[in-house]
Amino acid sequence: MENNSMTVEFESSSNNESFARVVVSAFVARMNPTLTEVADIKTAVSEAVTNSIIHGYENNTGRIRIETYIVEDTVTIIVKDNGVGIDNIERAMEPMYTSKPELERSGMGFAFMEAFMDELFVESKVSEGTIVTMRKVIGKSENDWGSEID
Amino acid sequence: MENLYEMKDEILIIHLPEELDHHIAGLIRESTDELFTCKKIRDVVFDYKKTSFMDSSGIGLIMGRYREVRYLKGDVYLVNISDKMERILSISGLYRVAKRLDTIGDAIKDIEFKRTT
Repeated sequence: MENNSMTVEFESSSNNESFARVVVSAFVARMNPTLTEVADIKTAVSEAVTNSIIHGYENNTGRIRIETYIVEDTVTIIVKDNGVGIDNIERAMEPMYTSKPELERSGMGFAFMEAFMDELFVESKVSEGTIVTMRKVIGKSENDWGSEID
Repeated sequence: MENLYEMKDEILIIHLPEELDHHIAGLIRESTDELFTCKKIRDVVFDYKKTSFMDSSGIGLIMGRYREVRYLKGDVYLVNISDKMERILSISGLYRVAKRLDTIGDAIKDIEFKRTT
C-alpha cells in the first residue's frame, strides 16, 4: 500500500455527518478493508464529528477538519474542531457519561470510538478546541485474507 | 418522514431509515414526540430491516423512547437486526432495556401475550 493522505474541512452542520463518514470510508477503500472494518471506521468518524457539532460548537457554526493518513497498513484519522474544548477528558470518556442528557445523548461516543478503532487519543484545551486521533490497522481481522496477498 | 410510522393497538412501529445518525435521530425524535403527545402509545417497535448504519445517537434515541413507555409499563422491541447492527447493539448494552425479536409479527405477538396476562 502506497502512503497517502487526505484533508477535508466542512461546516459543523449535522447534515454533514454522513458526508464526513462517506468521504473517509471512500478514501480508506483503497486499503481493501473488510466490510466490518469500513463499518467500524464509519461509526468512529460519525461519533467524533457528532461530538464536535454538539459539544465542541454547541450547535453553533464552526469548522471541522478531518485529516486522514494511510501509512502502510495503518489508517490515522484526526478530527479537529476549534470549539469550547473539554475540561475533563477522563470523565467525558467514561461510558454512559454525557454532559447533555437533555439531548438524548447515550454517552457512548468515545466508547464506540475505542471499541471500533485500535487506538484513540483525545487532546483538548478549554475554549480552544479538541483533537481526536484514531488509528486502525487494516487487514488484521481474521476474515480478511486480502492482506496476505502482497 | 410520515411513512416511517405505523400505529396499531397502541403500538408504535418505527421503520428506521437506512442510516441512523445524530442528524436523522433528531428528526425521528421530533416526530415521535408529536405522536406521543397526540396518541396513546404503550409499546414501541423499532424495525431495523432497512438500516445498515447506526451510531451512538441511535442508541440515545431508543433509550429515550424506553424512558417514555416504561411509565405505562410498556416495552421497546428491536426487530430485523442484521449482524452489522447486532455488533453495535450488543456493545451498547441496550439489550438490558430493549427486547430483541426476529420480526415485527413476533413483537406484536409478545405484546398481545403480555397484555392478556
